[in-house]
Amino acid sequence: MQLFKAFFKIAKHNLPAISIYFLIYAAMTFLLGTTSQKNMDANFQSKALDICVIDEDHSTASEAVVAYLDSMHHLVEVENDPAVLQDYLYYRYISYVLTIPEGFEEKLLAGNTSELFTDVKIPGSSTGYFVDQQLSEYVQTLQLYVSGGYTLKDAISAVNTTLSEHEYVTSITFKQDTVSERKEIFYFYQYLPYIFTVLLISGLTPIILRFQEKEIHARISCSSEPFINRSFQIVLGSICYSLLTWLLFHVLATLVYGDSLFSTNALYAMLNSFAYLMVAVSITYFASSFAISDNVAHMIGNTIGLGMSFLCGGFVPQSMLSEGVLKVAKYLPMYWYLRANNMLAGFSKDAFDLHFYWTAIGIQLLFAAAFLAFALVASRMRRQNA
Amino acid sequence: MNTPVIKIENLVKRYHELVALDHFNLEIEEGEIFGLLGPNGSGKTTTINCILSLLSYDKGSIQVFGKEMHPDSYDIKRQIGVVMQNVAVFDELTVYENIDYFCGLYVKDKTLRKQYVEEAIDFVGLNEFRKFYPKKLSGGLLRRLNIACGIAHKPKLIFLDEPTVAVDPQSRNKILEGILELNRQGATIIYTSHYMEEVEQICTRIAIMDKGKNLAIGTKEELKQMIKKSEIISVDILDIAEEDINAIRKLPHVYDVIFANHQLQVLCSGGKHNLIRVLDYLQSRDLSFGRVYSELPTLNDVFLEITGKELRD
Repeated sequence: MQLFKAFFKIAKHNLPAISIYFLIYAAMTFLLGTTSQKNMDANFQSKALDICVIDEDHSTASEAVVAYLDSMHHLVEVENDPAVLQDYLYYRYISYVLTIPEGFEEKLLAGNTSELFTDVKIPGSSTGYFVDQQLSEYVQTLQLYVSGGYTLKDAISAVNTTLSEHEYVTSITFKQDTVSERKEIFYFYQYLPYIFTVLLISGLTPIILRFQEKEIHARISCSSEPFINRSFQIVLGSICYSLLTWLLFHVLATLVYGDSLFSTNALYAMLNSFAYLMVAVSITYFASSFAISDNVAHMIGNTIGLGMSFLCGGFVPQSMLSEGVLKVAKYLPMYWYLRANNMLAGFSKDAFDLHFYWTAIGIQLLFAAAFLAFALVASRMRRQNA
Repeated sequence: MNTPVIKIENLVKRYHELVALDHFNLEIEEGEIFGLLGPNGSGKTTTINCILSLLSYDKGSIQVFGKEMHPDSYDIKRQIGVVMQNVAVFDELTVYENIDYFCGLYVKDKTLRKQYVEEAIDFVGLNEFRKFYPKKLSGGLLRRLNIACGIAHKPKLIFLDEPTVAVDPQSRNKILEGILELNRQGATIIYTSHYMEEVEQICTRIAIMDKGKNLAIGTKEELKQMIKKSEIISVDILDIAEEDINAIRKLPHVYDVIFANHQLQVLCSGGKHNLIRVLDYLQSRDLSFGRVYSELPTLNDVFLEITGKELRD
């Protein structure tokens, strides 16, 4: 096991640099996890907005809409003067101006869905988008009841009951402390693929590269150590190194999150992270097969890690990424890792589906196998061209 | 007759359009220190890499210790030591660890390996540097470490590819003495170098390669006999008439005479007493002259005449 021992002697020699990387990334992971949790709480509180509603229809339906908005937001009375309204919006006294035009009820009952309201909001604000969604949901549900034969009054009553039940369920969910704790764990898992990609490419590649340096590789190839043994020892070294990285992060996570790390969904997330670890190892092998320098390895590690994280939703939720980006991301392993993690955490609309979970794991393992195959082909080509 | 340690027959190696080895033949006997000479790109390293199965080849056969050499001929590889042109050691391992690592690729027994490593350290004189990392070693010491890593497992056949490049004279002498000692201990050595004087000093037989072909092979004496020039007589002289130059040119064994910068050079091919004949002629013509010296051909002259270029071209 000469190569295996040398592998860890080299790793030991590189330990100070690797430790710095490890500490920085470990701190980053746990900090990002905590920060994201706080951000999530802030977003939840900001649901109650200051809104100005101008009802020009004064119908039962328009009053129901006003009452619905009043139940969730603060309605602010402002003079119906475009200049005044603009000022209020500009200075953020209000976030949204809704005008319910005359004839709203007629259009609603006729089943029209477009141009029911006119609204003015702060351009590009997520809060405006949030109110749009609520109004759209309310109107669509109301139209559904009316078209189902309900009178307008009954329909309004039914919609109010339905939507308030929905809110009730939501508030119960967020009040559960254990669930909130578990979410932090999933934030930890959300940043882990980026960390693994960077840590393994930056830490493992320089070790593998030592054995691939032209003269050293030639000297080892000339020896009586069989090729299979040599390859096995290097692969074993890489796997042990990666496992050690994975274990260290999980030991730290256990210290931070305690037993929550071993809840059912967290265990699924743990396995998911293990599958991604295999992907990161194979990407490292692929990068190493190009006989790059240590500095280039660091650069590649960061580029691949950051690139995949941004494209696949590691740093920005997948729900906020455009369809075009997501289409591209589907061809990257981190996308499947994050989709599975989002599903386990309840960060996405995906309901828990074990079949999808195993599919995501399988796709990641296929990516790992593909990168490993590419690495072997690249190494072979490099040797032939040497 | 003994089986040659290395037998290469009709070896052809192509890199796309370039023919690196063109029906190359070579036999190396046990106990030789065999010098492989050739300018850059002549095919020396390609030949060595093919013998070591680091490169595949298009045609021909290579036998080492009487057996066909393949990438998985581990029983043959066990008996081979390689010292690469560039230092091939791990910067992250100490002198001792490096030698132990490379020796361990051949010798699994820990006790025996420890003994071999100690002997290798003694052999190259790195005792006081055993805990040093390679980056702390001078160029000469680094070369010695490179050699120790290649010979620690006591191979019977050693390839030394330019082991003295960029080495100070003291380390160079130490290395050359070491090579002779390894040979005395029974190892067959294949040695490539740009330094003709080293090759002349230690090699028992030499092959001159160019353009992937073996142009000449023999002992240094045999190689020197192959060329026209066998002696250069140089005489410092103030001036000499053209008719005297022509007369000297007609002396036995003289094939060319050059006069430039007050120096007369008489090039002779074979024969004896050439110097006396030239001096007799100069005295008979009452020509006064200063310093006189005679040079025998060097391997560089052999190389120049056979390949038409200097070794370092």
